[in-house]
Amino acid sequence: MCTSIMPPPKDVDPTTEQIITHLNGLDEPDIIIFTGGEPTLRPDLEELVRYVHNRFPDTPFRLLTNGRRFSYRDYTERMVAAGVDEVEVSLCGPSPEVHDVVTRTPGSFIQSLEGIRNLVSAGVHTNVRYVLHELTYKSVVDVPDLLYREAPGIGQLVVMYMDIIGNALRHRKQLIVPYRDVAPYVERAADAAVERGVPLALYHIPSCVIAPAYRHLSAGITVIERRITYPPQCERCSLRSSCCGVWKTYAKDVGTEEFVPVIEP
Amino acid sequence: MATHLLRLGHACDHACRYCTVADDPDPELSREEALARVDAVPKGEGLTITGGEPTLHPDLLEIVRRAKERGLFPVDLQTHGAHLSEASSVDRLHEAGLDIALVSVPSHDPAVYRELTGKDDLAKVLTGIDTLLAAGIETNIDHVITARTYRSLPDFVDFIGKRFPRVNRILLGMVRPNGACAQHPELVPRLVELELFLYDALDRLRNRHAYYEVEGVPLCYLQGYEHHNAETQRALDAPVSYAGGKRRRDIHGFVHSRLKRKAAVCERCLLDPLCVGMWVEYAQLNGTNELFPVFTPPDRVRERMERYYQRWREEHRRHRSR
Repeated sequence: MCTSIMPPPKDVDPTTEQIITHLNGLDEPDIIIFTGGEPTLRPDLEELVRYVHNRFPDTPFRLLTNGRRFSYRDYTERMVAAGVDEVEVSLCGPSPEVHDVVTRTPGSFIQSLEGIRNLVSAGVHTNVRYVLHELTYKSVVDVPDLLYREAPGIGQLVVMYMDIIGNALRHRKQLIVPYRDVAPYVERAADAAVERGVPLALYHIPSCVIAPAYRHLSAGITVIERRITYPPQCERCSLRSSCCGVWKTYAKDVGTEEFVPVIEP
Repeated sequence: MATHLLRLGHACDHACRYCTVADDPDPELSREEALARVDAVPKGEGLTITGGEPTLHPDLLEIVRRAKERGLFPVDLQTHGAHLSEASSVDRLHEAGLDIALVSVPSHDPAVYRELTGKDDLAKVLTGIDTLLAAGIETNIDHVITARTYRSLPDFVDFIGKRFPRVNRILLGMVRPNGACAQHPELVPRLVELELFLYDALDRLRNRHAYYEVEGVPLCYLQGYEHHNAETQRALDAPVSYAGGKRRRDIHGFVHSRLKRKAAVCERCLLDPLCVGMWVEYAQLNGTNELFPVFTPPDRVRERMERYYQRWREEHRRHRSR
C-alpha cells in the first residue's frame, strides 16, 4: 500500500535486506504491490519478485512500472519466470508527442508501448494506467483506440486524476486542471472504450463531476483515508459512501466549490 | 555537544495558552543558586537559560557573564522577546557574552498573537528581534504549531524570511497538550490536517536554505525532511541535563522513553529506530492510528542528519570567532 504523501527521495532506496525484512513482517497481506520510483531499475527486482512468489504463493502480486524495461523481451521472460503475473504500466499519452513530453524522455513512448505488448503476449495480466493533468487530459479520448490498435488484450485501462504529491505537488500550478474541465474528455474516452471493447475504470474522480451514465466505472475509495477529504456539502450526497472523495492537496489548492451533492430520490 | 538547562523559575508576564511549564509552583532561583548551578557546568559545554521568562530575572546579566567567564558555549536564552526592544539592555546582554537568543513567535498576526499569549506584544517582540540582530546576537525563532495557526504556517515562514533575512534558524514545535495547554485541547491540530501545510512550509524553508527543525511531529509526517526532526537529532547527540543537578539526568532520553507514544504498525517502519513517535497526550486525545510505516532506510537519514548538524556547528564556530 502506498502511504507516502511525499515519495521518498531518489537517493535513499531501501536495500534488498531491508525489503526482505519488511516482507517477512507482513501478516497475511491482501495484496503486495511493488512501486517506486521505478522498480525495474533495481538490479535485485527479479530476486525480490521470486522471494514474494515463494513466501506468499497465494497472495496477489502487482508491479507498477513505466514499462520501458519490458520492451526487452528477455527481461520480460525472466520476470515472468520469477513470478510476475500482473503489471500496471503508466502511459502518459496516446503518442510520443504527448507521452515523451510528460516523461521528459524521448523514445519512452515507443518503449512503454512495446513493453505492454510484450507483457500481454507473455500472458501477464497487464493494465494500463493513464494519469490526467494539464498535459494529458484532452488526449485521453485517443487512448482506447490506441490500445485497441496497438496493444490488444490488456486487462483494463485505468484512468486516474493526478495524485498531487512529489513532483506533481511541486509543479502543481502547471498541472492541475479543474475536474469540471476534465470530465467531458473522460466521458468521451469512456464512450470510445466501449466502442473499442477496452475495459475502463476511473480512479480519483469524484462521482458528482461525471455524468450519471459513467459513474458505475468509478473504482470508489482506493487510497488511505488521510489523503482524501469530503467537503461539507458531501454529507447530503447520495453517493457519499461510495465516492472516492477529493485529494486533500486538490481541496487545499483549488477549493471544493465545484463538487455538488447528488440527491437521489 | 553536551547542553545543560538552567530554569530560572516559572514567573512570566505572558499567559500563553499553549505553555507547558506555566503551572509549576516552584519559586524563582536566587542569584546564588543560579550562579552555583552555572559553576557546576563543565567548561566548554552548552548552557540554555530558560524560565518562565528569564529576562524578568534581576540577575540574568550576571548569570550570562558568569557562564561566559567559565568558558561555556554556546549560552542560549529562551525568551518571549518582549523586553528586548531597548538597544541598551540588549547590548549589555551581548557584552555579557550571550551567544544565541531563541525568541518565541507563535503568530505573525497581532490579533492571533494576543489571543494565544494574552498580551498585545507582537510589535515589541519583532522590534526585540531587530535589536538582538543589530547587537550581533544570533537569533533563532521558535514557533509553536497550533490548531489556531497551522493553516498560516507557510505564510509565517515567508513572513520571517522577509522581515528577518538574518534569522537563519527556525524551530517549529507541535503544541503539546500538557501544562497550561492541557486545558486547551482545541489548540492541538490533527497530524493529517497539518501535514500539507507543514510540507508547504518546509518546502519554502528548504528553498531558502535556512536551518530549520521540527519537534513533536513523527517521522512518517516528515518524509524527505526526517533529518530536520529535532528529537531524533537529540536522541543521537549528547544528552541534555539540568545545570547543577546532583546527577546528570538525560532529560530528552526521559521524555522520549516516557512521554512519547507509538503505534503497533511502527514496528514495521524502517525509521522506527530513529523516531520518537508522538506526544503521549496527543495519543490520549486522538489515538495513534495516524501513524504509518515508511520505507526510508535509517542509515541514509542518519547521514543526512550528521551533515546537517555538522554544517550548523561549523556556522556556530564561525559566529563565535567573529
